Amino acid sequence: MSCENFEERISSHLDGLLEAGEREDVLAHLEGCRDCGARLKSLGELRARLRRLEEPRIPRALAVRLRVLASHEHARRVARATWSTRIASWKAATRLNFENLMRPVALPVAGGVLSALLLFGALVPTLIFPHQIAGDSPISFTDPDGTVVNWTGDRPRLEPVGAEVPSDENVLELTIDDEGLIADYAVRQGQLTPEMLTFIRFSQFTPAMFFGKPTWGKKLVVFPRHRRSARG
Amino acid sequence: MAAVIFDLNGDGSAEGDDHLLVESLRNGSEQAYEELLARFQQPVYTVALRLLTNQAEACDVVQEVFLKVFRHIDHFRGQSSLKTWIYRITVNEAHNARRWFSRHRSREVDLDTEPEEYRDWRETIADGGRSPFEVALNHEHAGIIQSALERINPVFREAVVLRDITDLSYEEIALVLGVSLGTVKSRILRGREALREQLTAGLQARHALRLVPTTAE
Repeated sequence: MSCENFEERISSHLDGLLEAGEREDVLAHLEGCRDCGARLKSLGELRARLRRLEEPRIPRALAVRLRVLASHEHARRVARATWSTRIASWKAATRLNFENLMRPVALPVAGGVLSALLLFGALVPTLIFPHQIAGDSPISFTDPDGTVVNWTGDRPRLEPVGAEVPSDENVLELTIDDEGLIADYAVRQGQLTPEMLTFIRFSQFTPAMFFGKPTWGKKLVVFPRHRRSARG
Repeated sequence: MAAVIFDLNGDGSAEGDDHLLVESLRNGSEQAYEELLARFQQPVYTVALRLLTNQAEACDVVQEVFLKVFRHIDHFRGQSSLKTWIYRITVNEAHNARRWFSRHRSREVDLDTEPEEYRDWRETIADGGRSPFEVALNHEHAGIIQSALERINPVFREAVVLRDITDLSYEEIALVLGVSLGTVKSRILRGREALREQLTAGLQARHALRLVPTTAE
């Protein structure tokens, strides 16, 4: 290989681009030619120097200008974009703003809601809500009321089942069905008198109401004892 | 969101990365713009400065390059890599700037007496690794090489800068410059030779200066 041929290949040889055969020729030539060896060495050194050259750092002013440029171009692209990308961009911006807004208050709000729930849950059982609606049938349980048909004497007194009754009176406990008729009776206090039997036979009641429907109920009927003894 | 996607694909193929980045740019993703700058502003600036040797001109060229990239990203077809495409724009812009400045620069008056130097904190704190002498020597070498680069033919300079400073392959350089592989080889060879000649001439001149004997009284 002549020196001219070598010169043509020296650069490719440095970059390792020669094929095996050519490389052998080049190496063979280098062994015999001192000038070409020196030339290869100096070119190799030059290449190494260029590679080692420090990268010039980009000036800060230019970096800032590039960011501004990018921002303008981004805004321009978004402005010219289709509706879907514009909406996506708005959505992203809104979400970012919302997150920024919410992040500082998220914990206090969560704490507030939880404590409010706890407080409400604790207070609810103690609250009473009275509701009275005019003209509506009573929905709670009521005692049956009695009227006696063809009763001539003094009317006996009607009391609710749990009522306190003086011990010197005769007390009859009546079970009244949903049609207002007496289904059963029991003497609670005193004795069964004919007066009581008459009452049981002939009296009629308005039935007790449970959620607006007639139902079975109990009632106490009190007969003053002195009247019986007066008759007797 | 987009930044995360890029991070996840950091170890993926360069082409996949390019594709993702270009798609995000077209969709107007803000992170994509930042990603593009983060990846390319430093290499583009280096090439521009090595090709033009004037910092102000290099800055203008870098701005022009990114303006073109942002505006013409829709026309990027992905036949070459994004890197090759951007370097191609850089080389063209530098070429245009050189022509424009050579026509107009003589009439300009520079108002900026001292070019702005960006000094990072890393540069201002003590560097234990290198002695001041080495730093000075490196700086001097860099200056000599830079001025030698300035003096060689711009066509050869482009090829040498892309090969030895930017470390592109011959094929990539052929794409960037839009010439055949053989032309690239020949330009690199002749560029290196020219650079070597310039350097030896420069060093000889310096040595000659240094070797001027001082007269002893």
